[in-house]
Amino acid sequence: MDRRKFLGSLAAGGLGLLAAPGVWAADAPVLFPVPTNTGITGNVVVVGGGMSGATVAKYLRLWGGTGVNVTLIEMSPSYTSNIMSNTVLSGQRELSSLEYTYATLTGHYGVRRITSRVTSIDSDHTRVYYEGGDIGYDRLVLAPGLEFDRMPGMVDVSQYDTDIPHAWKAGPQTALLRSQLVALTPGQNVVLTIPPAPYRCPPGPYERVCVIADWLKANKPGSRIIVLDANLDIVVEKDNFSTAFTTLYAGIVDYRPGSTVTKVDVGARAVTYDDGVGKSWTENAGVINAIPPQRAPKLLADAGLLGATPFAPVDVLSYASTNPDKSLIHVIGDASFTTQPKAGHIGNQQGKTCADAIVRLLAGKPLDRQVVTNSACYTPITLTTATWLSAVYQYDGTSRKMIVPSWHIPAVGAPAGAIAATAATTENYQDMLVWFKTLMGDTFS
Amino acid sequence: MLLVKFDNNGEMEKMRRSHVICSFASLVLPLVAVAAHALTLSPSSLTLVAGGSGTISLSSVSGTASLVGNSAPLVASATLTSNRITVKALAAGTTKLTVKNGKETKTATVTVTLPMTVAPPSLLLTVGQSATLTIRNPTGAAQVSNSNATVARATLAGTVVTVTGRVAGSANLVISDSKTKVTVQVTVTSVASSGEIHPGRLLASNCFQCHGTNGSSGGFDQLQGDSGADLLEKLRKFASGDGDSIMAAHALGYTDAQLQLIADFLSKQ
Repeated sequence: MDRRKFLGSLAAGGLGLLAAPGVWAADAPVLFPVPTNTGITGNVVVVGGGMSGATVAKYLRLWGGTGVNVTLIEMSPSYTSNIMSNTVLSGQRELSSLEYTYATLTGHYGVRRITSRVTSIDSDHTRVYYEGGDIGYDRLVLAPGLEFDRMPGMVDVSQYDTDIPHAWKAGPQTALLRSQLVALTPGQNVVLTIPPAPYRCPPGPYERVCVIADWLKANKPGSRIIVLDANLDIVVEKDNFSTAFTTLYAGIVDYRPGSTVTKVDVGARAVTYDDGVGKSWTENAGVINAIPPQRAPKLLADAGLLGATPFAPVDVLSYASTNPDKSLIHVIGDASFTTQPKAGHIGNQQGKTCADAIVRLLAGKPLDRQVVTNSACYTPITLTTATWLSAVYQYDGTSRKMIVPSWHIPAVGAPAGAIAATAATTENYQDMLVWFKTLMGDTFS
Repeated sequence: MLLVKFDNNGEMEKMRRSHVICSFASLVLPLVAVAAHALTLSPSSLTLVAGGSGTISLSSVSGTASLVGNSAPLVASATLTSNRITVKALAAGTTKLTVKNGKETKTATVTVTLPMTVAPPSLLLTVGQSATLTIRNPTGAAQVSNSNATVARATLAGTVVTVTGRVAGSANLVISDSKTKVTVQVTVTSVASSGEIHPGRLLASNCFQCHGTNGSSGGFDQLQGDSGADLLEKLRKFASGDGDSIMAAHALGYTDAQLQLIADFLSKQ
């Protein structure tokens, strides 16, 4: 477990930040065989091929064996990683380097693929309807990601694709936002807005502010990034981000907490907001990056899976819906409503937890009640340094929730919670690249 | 660290009052006045385990008493308020606390012993397998209570507990002496057979995001097939706080019994 030694050898190999694809080929993920002798049978349909959906599909086969038929319905031919996509905005990475296909899932693990969009779920007859057909299931796993709300003042969500990209789902909008930043006239500002929590990737908006600020510093003299945060304070890793905002990016990052956006004028490129003490302000921008409020896709609302919140409540031992009529439907990842953050690393673990539970349910075995999940991530603070954050969640049988245990404390006497790196370092940045590669390997290979 | 409070103003005030009272007493009721000055510390000797705390009460105090001495402040800290000394046991050893009241001086002895410990902190056994727990520094004779004798049998001989796995499941052994209680979780797994799911599989899958599926690497260190004892030793080291490290932050979130299951699962891949 001496990763320092390993990283030392990497440095000796002269790998820079922009390691070319294929450089890691010697460390290609090991592919384990799908067992043929588990005696477990069943038909599982997985909707959505992101971090949690790809993981559940893989592990259902790896742990369930050849008797568990797994069909993955996903409308895109490949997945573009949100993790690391902020480095596309700084020009450090090509968008294509974040693309992951389902070739290993289908070719090695024997996952059946349907490239289509799911239109409805008939839970009474345990069938899923998609454009071009329908399919029955014993267990249905929904890993559909999120839908993005319109910001006030917008006519249609399609304006995110054409004018003011949120780029909170990596893809063409990421490329558009990058080109808008490149075209920014020096001296013009970027306005970035942060929705109220919960949203996908708690440190993500602050990470994006840092990455854009570092890039502006070198490329757009006189330009600032104005951050309108609907939250009253930085949501996570406050020490690291506020240090970056006030020292590294003093005069570049203008952080305004407690700001509620009341109008995004797409044509005029202006954002109007309420400052929380009753005053309204308007900021003109060269580039607007409004990260919108998020919710589970309408498909889940239509299927009766949502509760009082715009996400789906689940039993965190199995991720089965808590709606007693929908107990054969599991919801994992960002669309589920739990105490855990919405993010790729923990989404992967929710996929494994769900796969383990479904395999046990199909085998007639009791669920594993000793469930632990870990939310870990590395966050670039500059173009060469990063921090990390880790929170561990244990299943609590009393509240039936995942909670950070009382002994997981950042410092003596502090309350239980996430633990962060004490500083942004270049070593953490190199570790981040390794983490990203292994995480994607565990998910898609 | 302020271990002894010496209150100069209080001392002066007490001397002044004591002088007045003594002058009066020597004229009128000398015997009663002497009795009122028989300062006592109760208990005069106190035994604590490191990490614990206790109190010593002062009686027959005239005016305000002061704690004027603590011979080994690294052994125990002491503070005197309202005629009561609060003692916090810090490390094994002996210290003498000196209390002054007027012209009287009394001493109490505090002895700090190491608390009883049990190693290892948890056990992972297969059915039929035995292992021992070692008890150190018991105060008097230690006792063992077993929450689930169906799962594991535990027998105590002196300071050694022999534990044998009987059927798959878990049991808590509570080992106690007169001062301390230590709980050791025992997890018993069936001997692996096809179709049996290793109880550490889902826990250990938290390692795969960085160390590859089944710990096969592809980035950070390979864990697959390492010795279970080595893995457990490293995990315990991380969990005990290995500086500014993401592994320390991660390992800290598990119980020791969970770390055992993780190490055992990875060693068998």
